[in-house]
Amino acid sequence: MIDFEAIQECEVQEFDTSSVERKFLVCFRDRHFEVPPAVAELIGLLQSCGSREEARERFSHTRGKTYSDEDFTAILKQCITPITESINQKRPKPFIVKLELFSARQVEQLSKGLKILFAPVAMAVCVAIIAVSEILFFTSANLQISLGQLGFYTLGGVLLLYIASSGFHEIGHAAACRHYGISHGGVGFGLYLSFPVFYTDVSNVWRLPKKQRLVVNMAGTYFQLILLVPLIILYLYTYNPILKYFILTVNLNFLVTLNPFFKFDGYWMISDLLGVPNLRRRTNELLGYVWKKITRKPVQRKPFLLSMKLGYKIFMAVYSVVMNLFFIYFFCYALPLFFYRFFSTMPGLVRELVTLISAGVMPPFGLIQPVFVQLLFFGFFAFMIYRMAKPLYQRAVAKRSAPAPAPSEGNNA
Amino acid sequence: MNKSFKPGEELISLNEELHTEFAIVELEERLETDPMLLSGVLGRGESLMQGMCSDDNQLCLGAYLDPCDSYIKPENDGESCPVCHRVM
Repeated sequence: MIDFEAIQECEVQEFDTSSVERKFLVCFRDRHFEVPPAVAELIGLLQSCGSREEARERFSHTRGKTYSDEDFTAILKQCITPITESINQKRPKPFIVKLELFSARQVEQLSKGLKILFAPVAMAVCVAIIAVSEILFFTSANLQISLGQLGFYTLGGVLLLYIASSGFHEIGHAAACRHYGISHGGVGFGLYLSFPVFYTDVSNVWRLPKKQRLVVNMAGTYFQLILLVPLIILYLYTYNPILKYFILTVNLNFLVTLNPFFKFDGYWMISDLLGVPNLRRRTNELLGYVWKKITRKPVQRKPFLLSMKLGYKIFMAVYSVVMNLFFIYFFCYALPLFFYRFFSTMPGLVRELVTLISAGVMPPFGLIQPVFVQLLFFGFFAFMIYRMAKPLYQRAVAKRSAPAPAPSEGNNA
Repeated sequence: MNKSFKPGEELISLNEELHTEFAIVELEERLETDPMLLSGVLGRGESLMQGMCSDDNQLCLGAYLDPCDSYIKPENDGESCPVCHRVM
């Protein structure tokens, strides 16, 4: 059964990747699919034909092959049904927790006006000003800071400034989408692995060429740098240590944002630089392929890497190895180390905290802060492990409770 | 069956075609994420900032984030941390 109404909703366009094979993009509501030319051609035919039989005949004619009704059914089941029924399927959750804070329409109020910052002249002027201000800041200030005691209001103000800065970062991604004439989704808060993150839904960016996708990726950092300009000017007049601290931390955070292994901006940059959609899965695909080759198991689908141009292929192979090593390091070293340190230091800190409170002494910030931070991240890590382990446990239980296959007659004999 | 091929041959041929010419891939949801700077002020940036501490006894960026660990070191033996006033 073909859902002709749903097929009419599909939008098909060329897809810019680094594959030597031609690829097309199919957009169906909020879902996006990478498809080969034959599928793009089939969707076009289904959109212009009134019946399944007519589509089968015309498809056979254009491809110079005779497809039986069964063949045609198999093809539709393979490449059309997954698209039209995708909205009924759950997609993998990118975050452990996801909460939309501002709807697409609310974000649009700002992104519409700010898209002017991506006009070539405006961008050239902004980049020049950013470069000058950053150079002035890093040449005028030594990196040592004496903050002393921070009052409650000061600390609150700095936190608000951080939130505003992150919010402006997200608006940057949305404004870049607007600049290139595509819609964007909402802005929200999520928990990605153990990281609290802000996010912007820019899934429609797949419709753009690689270079424009890259601009959307960098737009967040660009906007944050614009936000820093007046603060740097203010700092150069006041030499306020809190301002210096804030400017430095935002600059340092860019390094974290550009991490190409976690799904931060850096990951999407590498994905678009390489021209490899679904980069994470495709790095694993390569390892799976190599493993099947070594163990001489049948390989049904050729990895994307093998269809890439040589230069990209080398880059992708190196990235795949480094990325997997990075995650081995994260899960096998960094995470256990955190738990080891947590369990070895936390009892002492809590004991000290309880002693001070029971003696009627207000615990110092230097004691409250590590207890609070460690407990917070312990919670994040524990929740992450729980969410990762839950499906594995459920699968194991389902496997165990599944009825055992009935013994064959031969066995009974 | 409309074709003159043997059923077995036809099936193998179509299967191969399905895996190559008709294979589709759903693209991942693109959420541009920015790790919250809040985590920096709460102490996660410490390891990045440790290198900024100098040898003198001033509080530095890293020291602010975890004053006692960074400030109280052997050469400061007996001195209290200016923030939390703990003595080594």
